[in-house]
This record gives sequence, C-alpha cells and structure tokens, in this order.
Amino acid sequence: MRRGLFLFVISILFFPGLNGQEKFRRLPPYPEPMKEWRLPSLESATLANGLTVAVVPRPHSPFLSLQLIITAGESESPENLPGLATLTAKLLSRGTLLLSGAEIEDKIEAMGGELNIITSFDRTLFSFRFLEDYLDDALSLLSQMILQPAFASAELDSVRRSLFYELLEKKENADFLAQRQLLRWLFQGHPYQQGLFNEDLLRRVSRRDVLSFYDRHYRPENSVLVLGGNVNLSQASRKVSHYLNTWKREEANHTSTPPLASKEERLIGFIDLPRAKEITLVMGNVLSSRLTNDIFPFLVLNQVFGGSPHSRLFMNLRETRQLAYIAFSEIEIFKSGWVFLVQAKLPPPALSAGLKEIERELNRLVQEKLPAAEIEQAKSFLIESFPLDLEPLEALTRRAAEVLAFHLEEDHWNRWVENVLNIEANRVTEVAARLLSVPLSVVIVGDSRQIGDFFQQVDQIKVYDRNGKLLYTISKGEEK
Amino acid sequence: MFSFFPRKDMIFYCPMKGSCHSKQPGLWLALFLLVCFSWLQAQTEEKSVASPFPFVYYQLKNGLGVILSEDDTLPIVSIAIAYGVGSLREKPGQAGLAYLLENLMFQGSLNVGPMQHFSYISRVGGRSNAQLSENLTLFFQSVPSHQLPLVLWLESDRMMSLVISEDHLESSKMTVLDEIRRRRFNEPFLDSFLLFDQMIYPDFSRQHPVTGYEEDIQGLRAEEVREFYRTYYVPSNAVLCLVGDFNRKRAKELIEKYFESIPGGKEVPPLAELPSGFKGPLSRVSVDPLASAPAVHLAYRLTSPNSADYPIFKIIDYLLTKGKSSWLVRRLLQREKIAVRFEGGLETRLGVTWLRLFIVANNEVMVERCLRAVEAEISRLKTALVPEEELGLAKTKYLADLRLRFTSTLDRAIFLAENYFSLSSLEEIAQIIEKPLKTQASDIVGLANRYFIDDNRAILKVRIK
Repeated sequence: MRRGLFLFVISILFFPGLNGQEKFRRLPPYPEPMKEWRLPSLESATLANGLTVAVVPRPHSPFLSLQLIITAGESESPENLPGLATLTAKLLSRGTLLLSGAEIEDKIEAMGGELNIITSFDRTLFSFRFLEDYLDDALSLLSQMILQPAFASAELDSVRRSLFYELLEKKENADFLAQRQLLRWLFQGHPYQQGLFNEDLLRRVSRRDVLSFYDRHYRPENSVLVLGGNVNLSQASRKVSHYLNTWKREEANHTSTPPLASKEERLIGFIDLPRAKEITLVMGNVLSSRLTNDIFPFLVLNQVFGGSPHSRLFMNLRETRQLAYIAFSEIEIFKSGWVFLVQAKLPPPALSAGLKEIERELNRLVQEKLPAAEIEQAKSFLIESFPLDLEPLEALTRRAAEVLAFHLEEDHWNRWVENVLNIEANRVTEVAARLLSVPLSVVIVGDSRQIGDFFQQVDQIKVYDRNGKLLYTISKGEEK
Repeated sequence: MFSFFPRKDMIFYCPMKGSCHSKQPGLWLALFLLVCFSWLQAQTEEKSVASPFPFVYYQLKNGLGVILSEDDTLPIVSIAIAYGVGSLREKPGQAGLAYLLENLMFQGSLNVGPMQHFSYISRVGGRSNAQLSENLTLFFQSVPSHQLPLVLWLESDRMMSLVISEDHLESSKMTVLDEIRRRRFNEPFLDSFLLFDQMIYPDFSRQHPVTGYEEDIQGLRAEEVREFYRTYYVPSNAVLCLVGDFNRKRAKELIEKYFESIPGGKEVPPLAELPSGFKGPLSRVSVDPLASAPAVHLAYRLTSPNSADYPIFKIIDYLLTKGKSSWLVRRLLQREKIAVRFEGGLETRLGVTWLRLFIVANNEVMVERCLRAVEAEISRLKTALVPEEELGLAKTKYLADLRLRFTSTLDRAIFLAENYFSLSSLEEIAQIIEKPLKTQASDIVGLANRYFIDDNRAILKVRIK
C-alpha cells in the first residue's frame, strides 16, 4: 500500500500527464498579442522619358525581383489578329540585334535568374528574378530585349508553334474550357474578348503586325518598372535611367478601354469532355465597371461565401452535404472592372443538387443579414493571411507594380489592411444586395453521358464544342 | 461544428496509457526509472550558427531537436516538424505504412478532431501540409506570428496522443489507396518509374515506392501502425524548426511547455547502409499503356553522399541537367529537337547515389538518337576540361537554387529540418553546402571516367502500346 502511494506521489511529481493530461492541452491556446505591421513604403519616381520606377525594400533578400508592366494586353490586339500581344511579348526574349534566344537564356541563368512573360487582357508583365549582385547585368539585358528586339521570322514561327500546342493541350483542361466560355459571354462586345482566342487564329499574325504592335505600345510612359529587394529608389532610378534612357517617349496611340458591364441575361452552357470523371462548374458575372471602394466589403463578402475551405460554400457543399469535391469563389480584378467567379468540382450525379445549393447560398447572401461574427472572422482571415500572401518577393513586387500601373495607390497598398478592418456589417449587406442583384451565368464541363438527367431539368442549355462554337440548344431534354 | 473533446469511441495512443493500466509491477519500476532518467537529463546547451543564415539549436530533455531562426521581415512564422522516418524503415509486407501514418496525423489526436488541424490553421489565414520521403516525414505550416501557440499546441498533440482507431485507419486507407489508384490510372510512365526503381535498387528497402503497395496497405493492422508510431514518432527522433518573427525567449518557453513533457521514446537505431547490390550494365524494355510517346530511363550509379566526390557530382548535375542552358536540355530539346520532355538529377537512397535521366522522345527511332546524344555529352565530360565559363555558369545555377531555398521562412524551416537529419553537426552546414563551389574542371574529368562506365549503367526503354 505504502509502496503504491509512494509510486503515485512520485509519478504525480515527475510526470503530470500520467493521471490525465495537462490542462493546457485540452483547448486551443489564445493567440499572442498581434503585432502592428505595415507594408514597406512604396517610393516611386518618373524618369525623363515618362517611365515610372519604384522600389519595394526587402533588405535581407538574396534576390532582386524586377516587375515591368506594359499596360497593353490582348485587348489591344486588332480584332482580326488575336494573340498579337502575346506573340509580341514572347518574342522579346527570343533574340535581340546582338543576342540569340539561347544567349539570352544563358545570360539569365548566369545571373541565377528566371524570366517569365505573361500577357493578360489588359497588361503584359515581365517578371524577372536574379541574384542581387547582377542588377546591372539584368537591366542591361532587359534594355536590349525592350529596345533592340530582333523579331526574327523564324522565332515568330517557333513561338507561334509552341503557343499553338499550349492552347491545343488546354482544350483537355476542364477549368480552362469552362472559364474561357464564361468569359466569352461576359466580355462579348468588349475588347477583352480578344484575349479568348483559339489556336488556329495565331497563324494570321505576321512579323509586320508584331513590329507595328511593338511600336505602338512598348513605350516608357505606358510602363511601370518596380524593383523589390535590397535596393533603394535613388540607386534604382539612376541605374534604370542609365540602361533605359534611350527608350523613346511617344504618346502611346491606343484607345482607352471601355468599362465592363454586367450581363442581365443568365445563360447556361455545356461543353462535352468525354471520359471526364467529375463535373467542372463555373459561374460568374461582371459586378463592377470601376475599381471603387466597393471592392473591400465585397472581399469580405467573398471570404464569407467561398474564399477559403472554411467559407460557407466549401463547408456546406463538401463537408455537410458531400455534393462537391471543392467549391470556392473569387474576384478577378481587371482595369475595366471586376468579375465575380464561383467554381466547383462535383460528382456527376450531384450536379443538379450542387447547383441548387450554390444558388441557395448566393440567395442567402442577398436575403439574409450576415452575422457580425462571420464578418469579423472573414476580416480577420483576410488581414492575417495578407502578409503570408506577400511573403514571396515576386508577389510583393508585382502587387506594387499593379498598384502603380492601375493607379490604385494607397488604398490597395498601405491602407489595404485598414480598409478591410473598417468594413462594417451593414456595408457588406448593402454591397451584397446591390451587386449580387445580377444573375450569374453558368458553364458546365463534363462527360455528357453522365448527366442526362440534368439536361431534362433545365429550361435551356447551350451546348458548345471545345473551340467555343455553339452546336445546339437543349430545352427540357429536347435538342433544338 | 468543431468539438474540442475526443469522441468516446476513440482509441488514442498515448505513450503513457499502456503503463497506466498495467498490473505488472516490473513495468511500474521501469516507468519510475524512465521518469527519473528523464528528470536527470537536461536540455543541451544552445549553439549558434551564423551561416548560411543565423539560427540557434539545442535539444529538449526528451531529445527533441529545436532550431530557431529569427526574421522579423514579416509578421509570420513557419514551423516544420520532421520525424527521422520514411519508407526505408518499412519491412516487407508493410510498404505504405509511413505514408498511411502521415495521413493519419491529420485524422485527429486526443484534443484535435479529424481534419481539424487543417481547419485550425486555415481559419487563421495559415497554410499547412506534409511531405514524405524515403527517410523523412515532414509536417509544416506558416501562420501569422501571433498564432505560434496554436501550431505548437496542434503539433504537440499529435506527437503525444495520435488517435489510431479502426475508423481512422480505414478512412486513411481509403484516402491513400484512392490517391495511389488515381495516380496509377492517370499518370503516364508511373509504372516505368517503379520498374526502373526495381532495376537499380535490388533490395526491398530502397526499391519499394514511398506510397507503398496497395495490397500491403490493405493488410496493415492498427497495432502495426501504433507500433510504428510508438517507435518513430517520438521526440528523440524529431526536430522542430521555427523560422520567422518571434521572441526567442517566449518561443523557447512555449516549446518547452508543449513538448518537454512528451516522453522521449527509445533511441531509434541508425539505418544500416546496405551495399548497392546493383550489377550492371542492365538494359530492359517495358510497355506503358498510358504513354503517348516512347521514352527511356537512363541512370549511372555514383558514389555515396558522404564521399568527397559527391559535391563534384552536384556541379556535374547542374552542367548536364539543370536549366535551359544545361548540356542535355540544350541538345535534346533545343538543338536536335529529338525529345519532347527531359528531366534528370541526382537521387540518393540509403547511401547510394544515382544520376537519373528520363527522356520522352519524338518517336522510337529518336529514342536511340537520344541515348547516343546523352553518351556524347557524357563523353565530353570524360575527354576535355569543361570550359571555365560553363563551369562558372553551373556553379551560379547551383548557388541560385540554394539561395532560393532561403527566400521564404517555410523553405528555411524545411531546409534546416532536412539537414538536421542528414548532417552530423549543423555547424558544418555552410561548409558542406559550399563545397560544390570549389569544384575544378580537372576534378570532373577524373570522376566522369571513373563513374560513367557501362558497369554502372542501367537503361529502361519504354514503348507505347
């Protein structure tokens, strides 16, 4: 008995977890006090030729990130020459008057670097990362690419060929097909539709078209260059000016892009992808034609609705009802407005129920007042994840370049956290009621043999091929 | 929605639980001695390392390695916990056990429900994931820095009291088997990679896939999994790496609070270095029903990673396979355009390193041309000094890739965790990672002639159906 008691006392003394775990293990701990944090200041200057140069300091980074935005994207490609903006941008790294494409690649790798060129609807981005000792080499190479491109016909053929196969391959990708069809509806009649081209149209572009596009849009006053890393503004301005001062200013002769408009009609489309095991569903509409401050309450609203795995959509469709593998929503911001998108992957038998559930959740946003606790949680998530989103140097520098290129200024830089923090519940409710009053069109991609029942239930569904050509319309199961 | 309390039907494995219910006095005595021994053990002294980035490291009384690296650039922290165990520790008939356990680590522990680990992290804006290799299982997350206690609470709970119930086991089996089947039916060339593994690694430990075999996973019993967890998921076989914006004193307090009372576990014996057992040259042909183009695997057996020659092979790897300017990418994909896909690099499993290449060719005829092209490039290494400019380029690429691993707090945490298990002392880290930069052109000629020989070569040609 005594021996047992002795062992018991010893065990309590030496190992508190023996007779039950330590109390602090039972519940999640409270967070530590949150640190006040601000983005580094975004300093910029305009060079004599009109080029905007800015720096985002990150003192201990071993790399520098250079982001050059030319505010000309596919919407600037002429109507009969879709893909021209993309081909022009890609050709800049395929040879200059003095360097071949392979020599450019060698030079980039010799800087421990990587260059990516991305053309979207309203911009072309050169994203260049290199070891910090190579700033001069990087700017020298960039200036050769920007100021002395060769635009060799053989390289045009080669770039066209690889882009052709890239687009051909994407036609097997359900997400790409669904989103492209939806945007074709939303951007119909708008210059952005130029960015939704098929691979066969690329053959129309000639070297002369490329030269003309380059002359017209690759201008310093039409561009923003941001350097991120261990660099200051005076050093950056001096060096950029040294390498790019011969980039000639000439008022870019391009028309201003009209604002995007919401579509009043709700369309439902279908694209057959035989052997697809799941249904890919994309819904959306243009919600605003300008980047007003509505974006902040809508960011909160999106977070409540579908911004993350613990938002309503994912929790309801996947966790509670098991109707979807994933379900999310997002906001795509363009210069001419922003688009709200809902995306889900569902098992084919769950398509009808899943679609209804997404629509029910959307209606709840408009009809029911959002609980304050949910709004606070959404705000907290957005604010807490903001620094994590900006940890990659490229992400931070690119955000700065976009803020400057699209004149978003402090609201989307230093005041971003404050703007989210100050959103009140009634503002979110008001924005939801106003902006979500337009219907969201739907595109479904999947194996048609697996969703016959769904076709019977829908009033009208337009069936497209993978090139976006309307094949026929089905009304209550009847082909028309 | 989330319960903070365990379900009543859960069986959790707590290292102390078996002892609590035991009626055997011998066990009590052993426990008593173990507790006394733990008490007498002390935290090891903190050591500082300045390069390649500053960090300190020490061990808790229970043997848990702790590495702390402060960086207040952003208000975030990344935490990686690595256990020194992977598929190499599995026995025949158990292939997939390490993978299954990695999945079970998200199925809940005494105070954290199934999948709540992800939810807790995601709710505070963080990200979490895990990765498994032949010799390491890593769990990692990045969160806002004020949420450090949450991560330590979550990680300590599953280190101390993982729930390994029949329900959880079945659920994990379903998940990992789904994943294996999905990959098998969708990934062209996957079977050929597994077959090539069997060719170059004749022994079970090295050759079986990290994700295991379906039949083995189906047959795994809860007790086997518990035993694996009890043996390897213990503080003395683990390291906690914390990188980011934290107060060192406070972080140490929190780590001590959550981890120090977890029993250290028995010492895990080091893996015995098996001889390679490979006898070359070896050449085979297989057919892949999912492939749309023919391909070829080619590999050369090299030296052990502990040998003085190994750092030179790092540079040879960069010369031959890394980046658009590498010799094989340039020749196969750009100059001769005889291949549509190329990948390659060094691979080490239990003391044996191979240079592995995988080439998808334009057609059957081009497979042979690809092999000849590889041979020609390797012959360049054997017969002439690599020009200084090209050697410099390879070294810069190596350096850039290395520094790329230090750019995010999470990358640094993972880098430290991996090196904790692979180096005898973390103080050597800067010296070891910089060794390849000392490579001379003359070193390469000698090694190429010694290792790139027929006896060290294996080839697997993959035909389309």
